[in-house]
Amino acid sequence: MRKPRENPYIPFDATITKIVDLNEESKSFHLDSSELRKMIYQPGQFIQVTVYGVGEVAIGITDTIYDEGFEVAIRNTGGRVTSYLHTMKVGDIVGIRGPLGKPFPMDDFKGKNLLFICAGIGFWPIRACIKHVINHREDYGKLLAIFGVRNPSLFTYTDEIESWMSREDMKVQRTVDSCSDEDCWDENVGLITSLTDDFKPQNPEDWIILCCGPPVAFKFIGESLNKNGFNDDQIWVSLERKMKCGIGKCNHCLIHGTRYVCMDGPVFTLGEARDMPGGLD
Amino acid sequence: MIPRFISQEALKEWVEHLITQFSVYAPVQEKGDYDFAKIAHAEEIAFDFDRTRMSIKGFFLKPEEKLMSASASKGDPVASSPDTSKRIIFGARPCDITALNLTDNVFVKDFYDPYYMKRRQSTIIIGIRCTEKCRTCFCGTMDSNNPLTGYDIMLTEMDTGEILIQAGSDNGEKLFRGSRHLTRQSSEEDQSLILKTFKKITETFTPDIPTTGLKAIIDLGRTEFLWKKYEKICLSCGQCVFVCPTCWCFDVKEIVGADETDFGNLDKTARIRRWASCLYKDYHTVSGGHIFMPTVASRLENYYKHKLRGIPEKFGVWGCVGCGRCVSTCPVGIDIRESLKELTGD
Ligand code: SF4
Ligand code: FES
Repeated sequence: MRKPRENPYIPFDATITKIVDLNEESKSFHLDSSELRKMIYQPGQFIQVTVYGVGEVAIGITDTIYDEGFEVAIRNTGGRVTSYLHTMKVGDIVGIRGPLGKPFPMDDFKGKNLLFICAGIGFWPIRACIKHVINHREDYGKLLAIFGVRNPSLFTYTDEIESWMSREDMKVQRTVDSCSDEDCWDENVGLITSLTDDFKPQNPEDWIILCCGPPVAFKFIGESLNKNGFNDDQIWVSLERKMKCGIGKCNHCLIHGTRYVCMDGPVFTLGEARDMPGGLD
Repeated sequence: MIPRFISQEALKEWVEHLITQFSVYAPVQEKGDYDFAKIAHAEEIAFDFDRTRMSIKGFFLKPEEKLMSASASKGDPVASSPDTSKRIIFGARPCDITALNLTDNVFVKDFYDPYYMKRRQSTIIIGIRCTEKCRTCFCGTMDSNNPLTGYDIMLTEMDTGEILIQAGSDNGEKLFRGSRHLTRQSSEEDQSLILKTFKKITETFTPDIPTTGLKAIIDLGRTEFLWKKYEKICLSCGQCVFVCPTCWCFDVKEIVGADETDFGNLDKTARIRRWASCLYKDYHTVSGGHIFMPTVASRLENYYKHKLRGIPEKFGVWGCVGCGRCVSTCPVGIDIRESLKELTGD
């Protein structure tokens, strides 16, 4: 835990130990340092990654504490920091601040059935939740994970997804928005909502839905789920904002003058997010 | 400490004495307005100031500062240490002290901000109570003309011209201890004079704009018309933010080659923070080009709601202290007093 009088603006160093290409625009960076090994974090929280002299970027935690090492998945958005990160090599040093923000309240979900909805790279923070749940499998009921990306080449961590597909105690559905003739596949083609529209379990109140992706998608996914009997307070989303300090001081992530995504979130129920005008922009 | 009195002449003598021990900052007249500046003599103080152009927030949250330095190749970040030599701000107005109480809370809550707090702790605040309204005052409405904490000494000019000294902290008491000979004890007869002066001050600063129900009005969303109206004229220049004592938005940036002793060495990097404004479009623009608050109306809404709804909810006070500096500075004449009236009027 962070000591109360520690300087919250100063990162600690971590060395890049391994870099893995996730897809054409994303890489995963394995990091290590003594401070990092002491870092305790939970699914839904984020960290700030510093490239010294270049900038800092907020990244949702995709890792769990249940395995060795620490990894961050980063998409090259074309911005200063992420594009620089994509040129970095094993042995290079980055700075880390965190963990920051509130996690998904996984303990409150015990005994519930869980639906994970992963739109695009929104999968990465959800990946931490899925791993957590699999590690505490007996605490949770039925599991269903839905993955959607624009085209088949954009899936990441495919081995893991396929290992979940082969589990008896978990269902997985995948979809792509569209695919060209050469690289099309035999699973679902269509928006994520084409799968959620058909999700009509007997007792919707027994389910909790965890959803990550671009906030605009939340509106459509929310509507689709609402139609099938799920209310906004059963649906949890993770919001994105411009972030600078990550500690509730700089006001960059303030929504609607009242809520800080970095401190009050990033996870909110869809109900809370809808109450903040502009929250789902 | 039992309140004491000091004459205007003796006050200057006392300030001269303080200057020998501390850096003293006080309102001086500059370019047709008042501003805080470091003074060498009590004579420089513009005792007739109503309020200064800028508030005192810049003493604690600097317009620009270095938070740390690091090596681009090796990391090793080292935090900068703010200058913590003892200093005095002489002549802080009650509204600015009220704002300081708010920002003190902001910078200790949840995460402790050592840069702000170290400067804060090394600064002695000597307040001068307003007996008349300043040019744009509505501090009575925003309940900020009588801060109960946040100052070390408060000075109040009585009808007779003599000045009442009240300590607000142990530091304030200590500061006076060596200079008691300059002051006189208040006696039984002074009581009616003190009461009379304070009564007059209370009357001067009674609220003049209704604020009851503001929370409900905002929560009901009966505010849209105002942002739409201002959107047409607001330039998003952000001046209102910079002069505001309760605006603390900042940007954080990484730069290279910034070591003044080794200028241009690209391995030397620094983390800089500087004042920013939530009314700027780029304040809400992320890499890839998405803008979270793309319209002037959405940014004005966020700005006003933070002050009138978000800050009260989180800190129990208004996020506006009614100094009206934004009114004076706004190039297109947007006036928060009018905004309040439009919101709470029928
Ligand atoms: S000073 Fe006036 S024009 Fe400039 S941002 Fe503020 S309200 Fe808009
Ligand atoms: S990122 Fe600075 S307040 Fe949230």
